[in-house]
Amino acid sequence: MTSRWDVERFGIGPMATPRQADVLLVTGYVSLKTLKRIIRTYEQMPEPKWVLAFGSCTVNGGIYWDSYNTITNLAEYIPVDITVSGCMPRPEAVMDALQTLMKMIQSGEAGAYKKYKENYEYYKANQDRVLRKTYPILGEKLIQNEEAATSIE
Amino acid sequence: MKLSKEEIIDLLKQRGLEVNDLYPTQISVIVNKENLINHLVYLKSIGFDHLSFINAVDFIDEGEFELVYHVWSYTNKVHVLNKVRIDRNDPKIPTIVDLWEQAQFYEQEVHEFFGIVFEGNKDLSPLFLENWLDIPPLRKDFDTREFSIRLFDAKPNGGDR
Repeated sequence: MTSRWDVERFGIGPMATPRQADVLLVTGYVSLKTLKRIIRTYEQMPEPKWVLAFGSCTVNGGIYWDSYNTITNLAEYIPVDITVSGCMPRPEAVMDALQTLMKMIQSGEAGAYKKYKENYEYYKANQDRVLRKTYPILGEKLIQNEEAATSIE
Repeated sequence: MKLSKEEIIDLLKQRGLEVNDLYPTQISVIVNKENLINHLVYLKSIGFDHLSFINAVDFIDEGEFELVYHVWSYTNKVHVLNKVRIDRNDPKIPTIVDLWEQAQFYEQEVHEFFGIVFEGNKDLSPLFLENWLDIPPLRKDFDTREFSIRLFDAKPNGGDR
C-alpha cells in the first residue's frame, strides 16, 4: 500500500481513525484480544462501511486453526464483505479485492453492515460466547458448556 | 575480574553442583529448589549481572516442572542455564524479584501459562490472556486442538467453508 504500489491512483488511501474510514481491513490472524478491539473499531465506523478480511487466517484460522487463542472464522463475529485468501496475499490481490469491492458497492451486492444490524443477536451471541466465557471450555464443567452452546444456537 | 568458562565450571563444581558444558559460551547447572536463591546470589556476585529469561518445561510423565533461569554475564561472556525441578502437583517456588527486578514479568508470564506460583511475588496477574477459565494453556495436559474445536468451531484442513 506504499508508494511502490501507489494505491491512491485507484482512489484508495489510509485514514487516521476508524471514524473517517469506509473499509476495515482485518489483516492476519485474530486473537481474542484483537477481536474485542476489532468489534469496537467496527462499531465506531460510520455507515456505510465494509470489511475486507485479509489472508487465510481470517477465513478458517490458517496455520493457527488449532490455537487456543485464535478465532477461526471472522465472519461469525462481524460481517465480512470480501475475503482475500492466501498466506500472505500479494499487494496486487488486495488492490484487486478493493476494486472488486468498489464494483460490488456500485451494483448493490456489498451491504454486510445492513446484515449486522438485522442479525445483531446472532453476531452478539457469537461474540459473547468467546469473549465472555463463564465456565471452562475443557474440564469438569464440560456438560454445562455443551448445554449452553446448544441453547445459544 | 574476568573468569573463563572453565574457571566458572570449577567454581560451581566446588559448590557441589552438577554442571554440563553445552556450547563454547553456554553451560547448564542443576540446582535444587532450596538452594536456588543462594546459588543465584552467588552467580550475581561473580559477575552474572543479567537475568535474560525464565522459562518452564512441563515434564508430565515425570510429574515435574523444570524451571530454567537464563543468566548472562557481560564481563565473563558466559550464559548459564540454571535448571530447577519442582513437583507438578504442588508447583511453588520462591520469587527472585528482589534479586532482578525484570523477573517480575517473566514470573507473571510463567504463572499465567503454567500455573506455577512464585511465592512472595505480589502481582501475578495475567499479562496476555483475558477471561481465562481453563487450566493454564501451555501445560501438556491442556488439549489446545480440542479447545479450539469446541470454542471456535475449528475445522481441520479449513473444513469446507
